[in-house]
Amino acid sequence: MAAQSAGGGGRPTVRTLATLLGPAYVWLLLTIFLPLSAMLYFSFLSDVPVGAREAELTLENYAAFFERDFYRSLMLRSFQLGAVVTGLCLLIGFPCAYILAKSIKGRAREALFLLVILPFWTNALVRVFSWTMVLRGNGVLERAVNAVFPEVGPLGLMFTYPAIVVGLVHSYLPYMILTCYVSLQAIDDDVIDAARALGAGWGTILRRLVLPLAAPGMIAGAVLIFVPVIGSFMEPRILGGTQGTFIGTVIEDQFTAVFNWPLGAALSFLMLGFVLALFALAAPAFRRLDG
Amino acid sequence: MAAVSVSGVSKRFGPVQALDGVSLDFANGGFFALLGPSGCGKTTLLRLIAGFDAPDAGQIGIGGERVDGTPVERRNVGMMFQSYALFPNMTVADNVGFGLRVRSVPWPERRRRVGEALDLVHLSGLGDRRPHQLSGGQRQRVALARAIVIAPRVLLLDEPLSALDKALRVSMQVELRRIQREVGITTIFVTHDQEEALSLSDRIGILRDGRLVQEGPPRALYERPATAFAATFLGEANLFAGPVDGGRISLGDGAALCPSGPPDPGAATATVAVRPEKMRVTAAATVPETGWNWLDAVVEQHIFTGSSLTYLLAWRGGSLKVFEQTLGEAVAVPGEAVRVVWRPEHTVPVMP
Amino acid sequence: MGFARQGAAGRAVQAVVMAAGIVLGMAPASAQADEIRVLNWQGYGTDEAWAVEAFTDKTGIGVVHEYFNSEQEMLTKLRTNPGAYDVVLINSAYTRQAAGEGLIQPIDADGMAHVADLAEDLGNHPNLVFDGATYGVAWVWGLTAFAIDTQDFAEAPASIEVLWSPEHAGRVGWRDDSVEAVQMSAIATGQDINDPTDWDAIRDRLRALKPQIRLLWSSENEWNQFLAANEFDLATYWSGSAARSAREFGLPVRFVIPEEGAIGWLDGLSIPAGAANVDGAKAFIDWMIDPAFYVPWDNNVGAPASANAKANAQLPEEAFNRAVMGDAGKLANVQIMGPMDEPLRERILALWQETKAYFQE
Repeated sequence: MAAQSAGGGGRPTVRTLATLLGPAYVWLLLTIFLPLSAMLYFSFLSDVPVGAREAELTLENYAAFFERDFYRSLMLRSFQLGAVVTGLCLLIGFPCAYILAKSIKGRAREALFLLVILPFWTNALVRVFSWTMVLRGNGVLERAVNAVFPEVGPLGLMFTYPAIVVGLVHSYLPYMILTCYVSLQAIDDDVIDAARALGAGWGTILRRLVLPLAAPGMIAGAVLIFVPVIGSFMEPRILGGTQGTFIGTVIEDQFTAVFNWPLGAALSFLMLGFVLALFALAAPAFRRLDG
Repeated sequence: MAAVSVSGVSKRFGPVQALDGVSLDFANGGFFALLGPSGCGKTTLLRLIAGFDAPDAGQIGIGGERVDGTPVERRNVGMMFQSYALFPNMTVADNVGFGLRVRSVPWPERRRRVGEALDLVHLSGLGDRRPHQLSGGQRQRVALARAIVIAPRVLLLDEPLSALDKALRVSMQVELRRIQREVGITTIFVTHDQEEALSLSDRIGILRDGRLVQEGPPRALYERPATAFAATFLGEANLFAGPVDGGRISLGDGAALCPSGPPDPGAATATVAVRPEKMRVTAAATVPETGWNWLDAVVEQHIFTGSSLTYLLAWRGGSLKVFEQTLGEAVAVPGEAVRVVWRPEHTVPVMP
Repeated sequence: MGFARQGAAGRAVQAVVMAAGIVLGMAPASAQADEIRVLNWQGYGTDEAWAVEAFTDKTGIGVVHEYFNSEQEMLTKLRTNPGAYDVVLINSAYTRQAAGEGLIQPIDADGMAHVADLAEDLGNHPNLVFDGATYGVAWVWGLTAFAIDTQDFAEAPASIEVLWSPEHAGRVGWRDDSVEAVQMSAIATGQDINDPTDWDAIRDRLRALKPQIRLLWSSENEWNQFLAANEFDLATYWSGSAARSAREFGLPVRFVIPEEGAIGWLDGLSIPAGAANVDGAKAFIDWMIDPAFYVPWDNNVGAPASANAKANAQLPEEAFNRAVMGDAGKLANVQIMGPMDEPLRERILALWQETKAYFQE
């Protein structure tokens, strides 16, 4: 086939693709792939090869995970946190996205969209600290509740696991709403009407039509939320106090409290390995969900 | 199967009056077309009959009982959408069987009835395909099978053929009619294509701006349009208007037309419609047969389309169109002065 | 225009050059001749606006600051940006390690007028002066122990055991730092904080904190906010910061030096190897130990005790650093933090992380 010009109709040429995708991939290569490859290499070393330090190849960083119980228990705890936050985002985000996609039209929809995306406009650290102002003792929430129900007293919400969950759900909920919205608004209204005309009630329509058709959006949102949450350390530290120790904070410590990049890298790649294993196990279920 | 009756139905959406006091009866087992330009309210009426909306005023009855209080899920109507609205995440068989599953029909019977429905629409063996693997015509037939298999009282079709190309549409029209006759179900379908309405239906209802203009069998509607709009929307027509003078419509300069029936008594002016195929082009000074209407005109264009000849002419009061079958006679050429003749029975008085 | 006419290879090269340029452009520039770059904690003396202004007026040298949030961050910055800084604050516990890695250079006290006034035991402390050279100029020192909310105590406690007292269960704040946590436990169990031997005792002490600790803090700012919100009755803290919390923020804070001893720390100002403006750096360090800087700093803002004995003596009599810390310098059971090798630090970190995981069970 003769090559067509990029402006004309038809498939883009290899040259056009390279020009358009090239800068993005060069950027990804320099800023993500190369540093990550370096980290993977470090994880098999005994020390960081900087300056006069000597490093030799070793598996002891990975072995450390299996030797010490608390690494494993914290890894499990982090995965549980990921599941809880993702589950809550699904429960809250899906109905939100449904109403946004199906029930609200015109100006109101744009306004609500803006509100959904609002957390993205604020700095993540500022968001988390504003939650401390709400949740802490004598904070906004406690004072409001005690103003109405004076006998309640201290709520004890700060420095607890629920506080961490609240902060994380707040930060990551927009992802779920947006991905579900995209899937839901692609569902033809006529399809729902057809199901109704065939006698289906709302429960049946939800179960057999809406959820399967929105599944891609829900899965995308779940991945976008689960992966960052299991590695999170900011919200756990700030909101969790003594309950805020997770594999993410342990990894962070390897870089900020000691100069043990190899161990930090090894724990990170172990986490990545578990995530990939989880996705591999869940893949058949996802395929079935697709109807 | 049941008859459907619509009585005095009105519906308003915001500032728009979509339907205004429409009354129609759809006989049991008949094939009925709702015809009209876009925005005339035909789809709104169809959706009211289906139950997606409730009328602001008036009543809707199916099989003798009032249904305007019943939601669509319980009206047991079969609906087919312009976009087919097949469920993308299910196979053809699951699509067709959806309504049966909702009604808790047991699996063996469900399988049998789905198979019968697919046979009826000539799609046997495609039960395991997905909608995206089907052609437009196949999807349309799946939608039809899905609507019919639940044995609804009424079949409602919303512009079912408008998404198909011409050749497919014609063959589907035949199919649709065949299936409808075989099943014997009361069918109401919405279309803006007057040819389709004429060829398929037992009765047609013409709607315009939310009101019923005229309703009746196709032939009657065609030969006896009630209004100028009906005359020009359903088929083509030449319109003439003028003051009434002694039972004839005067067109000035001594020319006058004899209508098929008496014009509105007491009306000072009247309008008549004449179908182009009812007219004949003859040589300029030909004496018309007794009683026939005639007009002098000049040929502007003639268009030869194989089996017919279309003349576009200009006469003193405007333009004219004439269809003639090519019978090997001499053809009038542009610029030629001719005389157009036709019977008075074909001069139909219409409301303007 | 020209872009469109290049071949694909030319465009690829251009893209790589652009990307490299962006990456390199992010590396810090080296100092100009009339400027020095200082690396320190934020808000820790060297970046006081009035002090910098006075220095620039006197010497004509501008001062540019960069900050770190942990000692490890400071070391990493030195390792990965050679020649980028002229003055760096290094806790003397890390000075030997930094010198061993070739990150800092020996300092020749020539031209530094106030070095002679440094307290004998601090200016020549083995943490800073070794291998026949001075690698860090003793600057300020302080103690790490704990501070109390005076509103929650009838009288000030004397023993470190109050941190483990059931009377204050769930009302203790604790710094989230593995070395400090282990060293506090070492003091409580009467051990050498730089070389503990009874690890089981330390582990038990750390675990015994489970019912005590209400929150973990990691910055002075957090400490002040939590105290103001009445989240704890007492918390581990640094002496200088306690003085600052009381003076600058008016909080009801009182620092306690336990009878069992306290962790001492000595901060030194060092000059990184390959610094561009060594003379400017020396002038700045000399200014930092000058009483003309130190006295206003402590009086107006609040500071740790100065390593310059003369400067300390010029403080008002009732000043914390003169009255309390002046005496503390003579306390026998103050243990100054010393160097630890990395395997020890990693062992301590793993112990603390394990303890925190235990807190969650």
